[in-house]
Amino acid sequence: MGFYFAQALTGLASASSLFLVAAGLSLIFGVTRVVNFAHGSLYMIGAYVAMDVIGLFGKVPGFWLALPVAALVSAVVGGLIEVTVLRRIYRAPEMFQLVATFAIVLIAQDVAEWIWGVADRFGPRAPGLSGVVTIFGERIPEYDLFLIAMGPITLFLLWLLFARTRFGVLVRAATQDREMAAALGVDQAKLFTAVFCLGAGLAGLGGAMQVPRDAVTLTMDLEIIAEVFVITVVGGMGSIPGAYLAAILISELNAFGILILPEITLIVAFAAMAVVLVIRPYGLLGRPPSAPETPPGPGIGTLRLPAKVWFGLLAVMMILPFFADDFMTVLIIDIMILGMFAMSLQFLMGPGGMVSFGHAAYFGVGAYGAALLVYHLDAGMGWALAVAPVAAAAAALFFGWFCVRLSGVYLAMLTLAAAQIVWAAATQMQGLTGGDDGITGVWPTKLFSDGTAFYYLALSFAVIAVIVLRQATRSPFGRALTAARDAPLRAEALGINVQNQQWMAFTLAGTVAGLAGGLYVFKKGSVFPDVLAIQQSVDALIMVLLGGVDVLAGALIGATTFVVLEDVFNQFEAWRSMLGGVILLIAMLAPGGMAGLGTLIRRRKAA
Amino acid sequence: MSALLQVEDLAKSFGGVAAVAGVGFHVNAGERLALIGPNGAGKTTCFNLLNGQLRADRGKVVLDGRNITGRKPRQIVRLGIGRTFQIARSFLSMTVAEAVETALDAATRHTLSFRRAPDASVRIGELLEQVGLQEQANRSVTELPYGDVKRLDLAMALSSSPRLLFMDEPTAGMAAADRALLMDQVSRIVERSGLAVLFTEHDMEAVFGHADRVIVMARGQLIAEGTVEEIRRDPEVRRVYLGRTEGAEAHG
Ligand SMILES: Nc1ncnc2c1ncn2[C@@H]1O[C@H](COP(=O)(O)OP(=O)(O)O)[C@@H](O)[C@H]1O
Ligand SMILES: [Mg+2]
Repeated sequence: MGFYFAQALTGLASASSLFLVAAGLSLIFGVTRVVNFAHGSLYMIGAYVAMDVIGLFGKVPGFWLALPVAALVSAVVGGLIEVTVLRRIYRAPEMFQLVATFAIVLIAQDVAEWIWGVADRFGPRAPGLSGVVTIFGERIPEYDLFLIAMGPITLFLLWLLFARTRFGVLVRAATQDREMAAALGVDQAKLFTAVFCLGAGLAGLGGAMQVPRDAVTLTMDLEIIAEVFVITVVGGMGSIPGAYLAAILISELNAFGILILPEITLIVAFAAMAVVLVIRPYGLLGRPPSAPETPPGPGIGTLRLPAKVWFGLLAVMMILPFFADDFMTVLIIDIMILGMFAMSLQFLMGPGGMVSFGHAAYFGVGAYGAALLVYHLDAGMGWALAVAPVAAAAAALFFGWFCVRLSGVYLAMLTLAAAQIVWAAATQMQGLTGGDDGITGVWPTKLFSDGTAFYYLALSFAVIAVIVLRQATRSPFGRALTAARDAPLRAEALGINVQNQQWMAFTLAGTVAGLAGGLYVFKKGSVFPDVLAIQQSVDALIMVLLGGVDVLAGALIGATTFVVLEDVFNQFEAWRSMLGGVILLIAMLAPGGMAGLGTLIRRRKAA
Repeated sequence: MSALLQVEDLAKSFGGVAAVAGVGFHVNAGERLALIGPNGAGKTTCFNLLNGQLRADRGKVVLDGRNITGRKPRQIVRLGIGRTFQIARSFLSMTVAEAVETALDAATRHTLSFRRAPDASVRIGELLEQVGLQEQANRSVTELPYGDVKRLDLAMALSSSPRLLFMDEPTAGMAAADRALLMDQVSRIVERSGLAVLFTEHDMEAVFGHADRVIVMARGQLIAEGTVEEIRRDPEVRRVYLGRTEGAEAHG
């Protein structure tokens, strides 16, 4: 009895920090309609700043000074981000906003590493709250009680702010009805900046509050963001009480889930989210968006590369190994594998209109599927390559069923959560997957151990992927999918089962990604959980974005550019920031990607 | 003979607003029934209830003796009811022919196929000809004037060869000459295929020239029903509707 009570209190204590971060994210989304990926970075900055303040002033008064200072610094950084980047992309499609804020994550990681170094830091206990109290015979840390109180206190203060101040009225007006807010004479630019500062400040405070409980690390930004996405989706985007409810729900499930399924607590959270979303698609306290959601993607029409061009490309690829050296051959194999991965995402995002932030899940399931078969069952390469797409298809069928019930940013966040689950499974199920040590020694059969032979194998797989995806796009299947994207109600009224169409597209995209993943394992000879990480998903998004979301071939252009850029930037210390900078530039200057540039120029001329 | 569509006591409220407050009427096979009424009377809501896009608070819809209340739009279209939209939102990334082909694929449950239906182009040609869009077949939907977007919407609705067609303000946003042309096209389709049509319309010329029967709605309720002549003379209808619309028509 006492034990369960203590566990419940631990859950409540964890909920507070999550709530602060989620409330900030939700608030920003409510007003600006931007899902801020960099919110985890602001949380991380808050934690590091808190450590610095404690270091400067000592535990007393340092710790109590750290909380407001961390909130303030994060708020200022948030304001800077809003003014320099987000302000320019409010009208851009959701995908660009998400990718742009992810670019900020990359830059923030480098800056944080440069300022604070790579070593993990451990904060002191909170002064005055370092003891324990005994309740029902269980020892409860005093600091946990402080955290438990902070949740409702923050909720109350936010309520006061929104109910009793002019700023609050304006924020509510902007959240509920943008036109009305404009009619009230709101200075939108200032309001957006202010809201961003407030949301960022909450994230910073959340980070500082975690210092006595958790280590401060350079990976805490992405670790929290997945959980916070789950919480905002469950609570309802834009609803702060919803965020609190969901934070408690998820934290309690984690606290008790760890007793049942100690390896994969995220699965419990995901199951809860799945249940909530099936019953209430917009979250516990969320409301459906008032205006019909605009389909994602720049919508500059679908471009198609004529078959002639594809055949020309194939001819070049066929003879390339005779001219390329080993290094080039390997680089091109990389491009083909990542190109298949990116094309599958393009199919999902272009014709399907579904932005996935977790497409790595299917690449990774394909990779692990192949590797596990070889490692545990001693299967041959042929079997492994056959199982890779099948395993990925199964995973995509499963997660896709939930994802297609949502659209827009909700769908994107759910795909990310799904990928995080698979990632968590891969890291935590040591016996099966080797955990962080991965699976090594997965080499191709003799025939394909030669670089050139493997090149042709990869090429033939890539050709299959192009044929399947191109045909899928042009066929009745792809057209009905595009119809569902362009005008979902019209499509339903014609007899198209929109969700089913999207589900099948999700599965097809997952299958092709899995095929790419299977090849990837044999190319590298090993697989590690990072093939499932957010970074891998975002890499694919970047490739699609680089090349242009409207054309299948864009994904290949994007993959080529990406691999080359990575190869060049890799020589520099700060290559992630450089990549981030390039992404930001593209998101702000050429939202059609490189393949879209042509259309854009043609349009300008026509106009 | 019993009616093709029988509607009983259909109702739907949004918050406190009773958009449709207990409506009952019927549509006979092959007839053109006009549903008229001032803006906000509940006509579009009625259509959305009938085609399953909205769920009714109460009431019953029976198609040819079969209760279809509460079915989804895609189920209802398969039972032989097509519809067009007051504000036509079409598939903007397609050409006219592609949009119609997609509608045909949907009607024949071909949407998971990787191959084009073999006889698609013939049917596309027929449908486009019926609405007078054959010249525009290869134009992008984004380039169409609004009147043609509505024609395309009609062609798509016809692709499932419905027995009953709902048209929500088919001529709204068209020039006068174009309106007459479209209504003539619709009449010809009705004559040829024996299709029944339930349509809403603000243009009284279109209503009086092309309806076999008229029902009148105001504030969520039916206030009159009869032939064109009867409705023209009905004092209640004149009071709530006709007098006002003639004024409103002049404004837009
Ligand atoms: N989705 C909705 N939410 C709230 N109110 C609605 C909605 N749809 C229609 N209404 C209201 O229902 C009433 C009837 O609208 P509608 O059916 O569009 O009328 P009509 O088509 O006859 O002009 C109007 O008062 C309208 O404001
Ligand atoms: Mg209407």
